[in-house]
Amino acid sequence: MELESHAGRGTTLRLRIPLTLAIIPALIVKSLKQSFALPQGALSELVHVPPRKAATDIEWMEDAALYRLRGKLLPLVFLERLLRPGECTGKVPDRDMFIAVLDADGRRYGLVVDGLADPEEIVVKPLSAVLKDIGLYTGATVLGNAELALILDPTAIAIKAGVTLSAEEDSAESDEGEVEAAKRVEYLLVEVAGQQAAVPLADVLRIEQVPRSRIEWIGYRPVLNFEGQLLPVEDTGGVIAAAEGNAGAPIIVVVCREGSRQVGIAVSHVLDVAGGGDLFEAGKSHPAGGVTLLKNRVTGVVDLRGVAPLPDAENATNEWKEFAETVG
Amino acid sequence: MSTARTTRRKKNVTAELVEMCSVRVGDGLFGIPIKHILEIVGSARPQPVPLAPAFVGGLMHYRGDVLTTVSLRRLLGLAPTEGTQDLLVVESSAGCYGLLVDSVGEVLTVSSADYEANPSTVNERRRSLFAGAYKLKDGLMVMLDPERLEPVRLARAG
Repeated sequence: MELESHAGRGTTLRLRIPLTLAIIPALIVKSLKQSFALPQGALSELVHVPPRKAATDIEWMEDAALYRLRGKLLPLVFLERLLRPGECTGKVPDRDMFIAVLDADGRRYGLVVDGLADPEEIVVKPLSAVLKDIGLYTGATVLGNAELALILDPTAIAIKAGVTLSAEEDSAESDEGEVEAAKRVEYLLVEVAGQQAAVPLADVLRIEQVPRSRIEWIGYRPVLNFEGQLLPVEDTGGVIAAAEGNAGAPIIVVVCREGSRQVGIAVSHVLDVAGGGDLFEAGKSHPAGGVTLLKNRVTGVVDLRGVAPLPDAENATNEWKEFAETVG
Repeated sequence: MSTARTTRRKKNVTAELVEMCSVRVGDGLFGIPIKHILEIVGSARPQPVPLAPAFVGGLMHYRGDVLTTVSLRRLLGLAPTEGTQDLLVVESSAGCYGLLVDSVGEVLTVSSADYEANPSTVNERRRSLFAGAYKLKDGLMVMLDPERLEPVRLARAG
């Protein structure tokens, strides 16, 4: 604990909590029929490889497994093979695989695990020196189901698997692309009724998959009820309408931030995340609004402001009255 | 002659009585001084630790702490057993650890008069693990010293 006090300026109290007492968010992954905790700090995304695609999606350069993540090769480290050296040698097993894309202090790689469980806030428990010396675990934790899980050290795994620093490569690239990157906006590429559309990634809060029956209606407007919080759902593509009569049909709703409120966009599929490029109308020097160049295709950007807010309490009475009158 | 007998009797009187927890591993009977045992956990299922040294039996959750366990079976080079194992939570000067044994027997009171140090013919590796033996009526009980079985020390010994 540190105490810093300046007369007339205030006091700063610093309380340092040792890692052995720290609570960290971690993703619980499964491998060797055992649970391991992966600190969320190093995790950038998760990729699911279904069994039928395992053979094609995972490519091999001699002994090195690689995955094409948005056009760039990502070195893969199989957790199972790392933990049981010499036992599993053959090519890819024919089952579900999950790639946890990690960035461990500049070492970018994908850790292949057999399954994913929920993210948990875990309490780090120290390990005996004997087990710390293995070099792959930073500690252990007791999970919610009373099972023990070893906490994996992403950096140590990278070093052990021979993943080198990719930072230099990246920085050289970003020097060139920095100016461009600053202008490039990341978009979530979605498909709505056969058409591609883009939602600014910065506005996306989460993606929900709900059964059709969860969607309720205020008049003609579809809404989702999240524990008392209403989310207006935009259905220009007619995704909800298309699932009419099928109560169990899953509806994917992209929940976005629009100013201080949240809106949902019903989509058929979520395709990818990509950087958009500006488009100019011939003869003009200002970028055209509402469209962007995504993966070399002209894509419309969903106008979140266009989603009409739900009526306020004061206005509601009038509107409902009108609605009631028309119905009546 | 008579003096010799008296001294021997005297020695018997001063002989210390020690309480030993007897455990079985394979065909062997082993003893651990009961004052070093914090708890006995029946049918323990330690979580295996991949890449750990061979003698490590896994991790156990014990009162909010994570204990490293030492498998006596593996330490003695015996084949793994199918059945469940019992766990002793042992206290040593370097901290607590778990000791996995096949089964825990009764607590025996033994006299230090029946104690003998490791015979010279016991191989060196075993000699470093064992701390002598007590001659019981129906066999030998090999003494285990909690300090010598401490995981960090075992790792250092190789």
